[in-house]
Amino acid sequence: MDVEEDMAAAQQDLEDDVNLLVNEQEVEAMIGVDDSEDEELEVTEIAKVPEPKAPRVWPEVSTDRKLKYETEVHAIRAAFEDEVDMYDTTMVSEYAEEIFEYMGDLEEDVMPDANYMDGQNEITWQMRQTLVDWLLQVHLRYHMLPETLWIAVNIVDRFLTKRVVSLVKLQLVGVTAMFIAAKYEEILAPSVDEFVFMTENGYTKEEILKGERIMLQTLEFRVSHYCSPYSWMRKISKADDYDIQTRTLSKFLTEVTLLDHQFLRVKPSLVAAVGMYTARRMLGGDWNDAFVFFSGYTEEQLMPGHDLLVGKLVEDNFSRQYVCKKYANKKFLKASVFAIDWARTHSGNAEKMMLEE
Amino acid sequence: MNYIQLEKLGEGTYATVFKGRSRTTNEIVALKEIHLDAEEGTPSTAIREISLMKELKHVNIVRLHDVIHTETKLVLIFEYCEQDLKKYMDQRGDRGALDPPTVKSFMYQLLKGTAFCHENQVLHRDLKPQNLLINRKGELKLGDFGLARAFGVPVNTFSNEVVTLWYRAPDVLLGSRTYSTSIDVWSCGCIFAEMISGVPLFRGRDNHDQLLHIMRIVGTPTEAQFQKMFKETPEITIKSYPRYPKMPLQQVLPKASPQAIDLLERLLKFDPAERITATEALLHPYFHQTVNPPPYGLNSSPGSMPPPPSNFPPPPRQQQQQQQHAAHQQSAHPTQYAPQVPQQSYGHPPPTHQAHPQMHHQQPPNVNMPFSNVYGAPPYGHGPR
Repeated sequence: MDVEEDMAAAQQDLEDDVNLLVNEQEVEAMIGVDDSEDEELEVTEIAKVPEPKAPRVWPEVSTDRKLKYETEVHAIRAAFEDEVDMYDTTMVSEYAEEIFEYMGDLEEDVMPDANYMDGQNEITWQMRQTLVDWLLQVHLRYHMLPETLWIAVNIVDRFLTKRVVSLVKLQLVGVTAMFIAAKYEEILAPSVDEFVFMTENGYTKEEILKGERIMLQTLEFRVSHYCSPYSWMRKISKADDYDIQTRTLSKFLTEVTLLDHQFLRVKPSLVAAVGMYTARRMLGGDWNDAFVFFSGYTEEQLMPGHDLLVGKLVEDNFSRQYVCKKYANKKFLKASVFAIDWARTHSGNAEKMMLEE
Repeated sequence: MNYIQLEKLGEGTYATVFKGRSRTTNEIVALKEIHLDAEEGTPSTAIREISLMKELKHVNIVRLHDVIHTETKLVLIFEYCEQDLKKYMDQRGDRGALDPPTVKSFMYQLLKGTAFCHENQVLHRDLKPQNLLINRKGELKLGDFGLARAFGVPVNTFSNEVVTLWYRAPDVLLGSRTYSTSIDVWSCGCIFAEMISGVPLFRGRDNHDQLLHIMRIVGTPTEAQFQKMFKETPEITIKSYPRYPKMPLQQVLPKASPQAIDLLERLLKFDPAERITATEALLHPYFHQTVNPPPYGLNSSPGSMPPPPSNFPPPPRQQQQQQQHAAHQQSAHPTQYAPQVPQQSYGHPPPTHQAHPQMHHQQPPNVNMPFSNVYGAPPYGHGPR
């Protein structure tokens, strides 16, 4: 593509954005997304709409450090030849490289503002955690696909980035997000009546349908599965030939990150790598060159996330969260029981060592 | 509304399409009106179509300009294209068959659009002539993403109820749910053959009959080939089939050049694992040995070939036949296929006699697919949800 074409494309994009903007105002005027409706729904626009800033990607490191990491990863990549798995058709290996490159570009686009709670009046991060844990329950009960949960939580967070929501409507935001995510991802999504049932008739069908419209408009129909870490996890799994224990443990650990708002600023590829790294550590494996190659992260880069995750596991009453019950099942190799035990032992050690010092 | 609604272009169970004009720019657009279901709200097809098309900006994909969402309906504003490929073949072709330079140009653009979808993790899942739109510049664009969906790596299990029967890949006919980009490639192959000959390549009555039609031409896979496919996609059901030998495609499509035949063979592999990808297909010698550089400054946007020799207005019948006759005679001399420099038809209004796409295309006899229009109603939109 030459420069002229680039410019033409950029111009076109600009025009499209302008069109969308004009349209949005018109839509709001048309359906009356104005004060009266907002009052009814108790959803109001944040007075000062935060500037659409680039998502803060965590951990933030100095330029020197970043360069150092990049050099390390690059060196390992150069030394490590990936044999493309031609026989694994589900990996769409023909396109795998382009796809992961594209996902790397896009994953930051669908991240919410990590500090959105500052703009909220009634709800808190603790309430968000309760909501996510409830969504996890609903998700499991209706046997939905793994991605659907991630898409739903991502919709909740991006919506809360843009709109102030009252406490009584928080669960409506959650159930509606799940309703949209299921339509997007599932082959057979549950009907709206089932979603009403999930809330024990806490909301009516009309409320959910109206909520759907408002959420889709607020998100400008940007529903995306790039927020899920599964594609990245699967890629990293090549490093240990898809070891089932590591994968199961890592699935539990990444779901734990969904509950903790501190992970909102972590890119999906890094969430996947932190999950896999922590699972490896717990099972006594090391983060060898193959893992660095497939994940694109060195051990040093993963340490802060690892510490955060282990910290979450040892929080008071954390084992009462539904995610722990879910993964205490034999089907999931009792991953949560094992992980919490490990975390208690090891973070205890760490404290003791610090005291001794 | 910011758009003036003009005449109706088509109607389906899922949507109605109108021609429209922007009040601000006077631009002609297509308005796809989706009726919102009072029971289930925004259809999943619409959520997918809009979210995916917002990401897919490419010359060979119909551009979504705008979305208007009200309590009762959802209006998608698309760039306007004069007709679809089916209609184009009926009107401009020699009994449906297009001349070799046009086939090559359309095929290139079809593969470009398809490759772009696949690189962006989108499966179209309903490629067929009725869903490929042609504008007056000779640009071909993939439309109707109502059945499309994003796929992850690895691919998940999907619905088996996809793609209009005649363009449905054999692995899907056998029951595959873990199909991937290769299902769109199969459809591209079917469309390629149809552009060359003027008639759909495999016209089955139902799922089983469709498989037999395919086997009669590409041959029944051997037991070993079936077993390999079964191992890779255990959900498929393999019955016993008559042993058909592979038919030489040159015999099926006598008008096609040897290079076209070679490309077609690679697109229509029974086993999805052996099928060429859209990106690889674009590198095939069929496109590259004979391609002239695009005319100066014209149509230099990425992904589009020089438009086919301007067919607006259509060349006289006689001339067209001569062209095809010549092409047929010289099939050993591929330089014959060099796309011609288009006439200066850019920006000119289309001839007034041009009819609007009609809704009475010949349809594959698929009970689930009562209707299709320019922007298409998804054949399974009303299926079980």
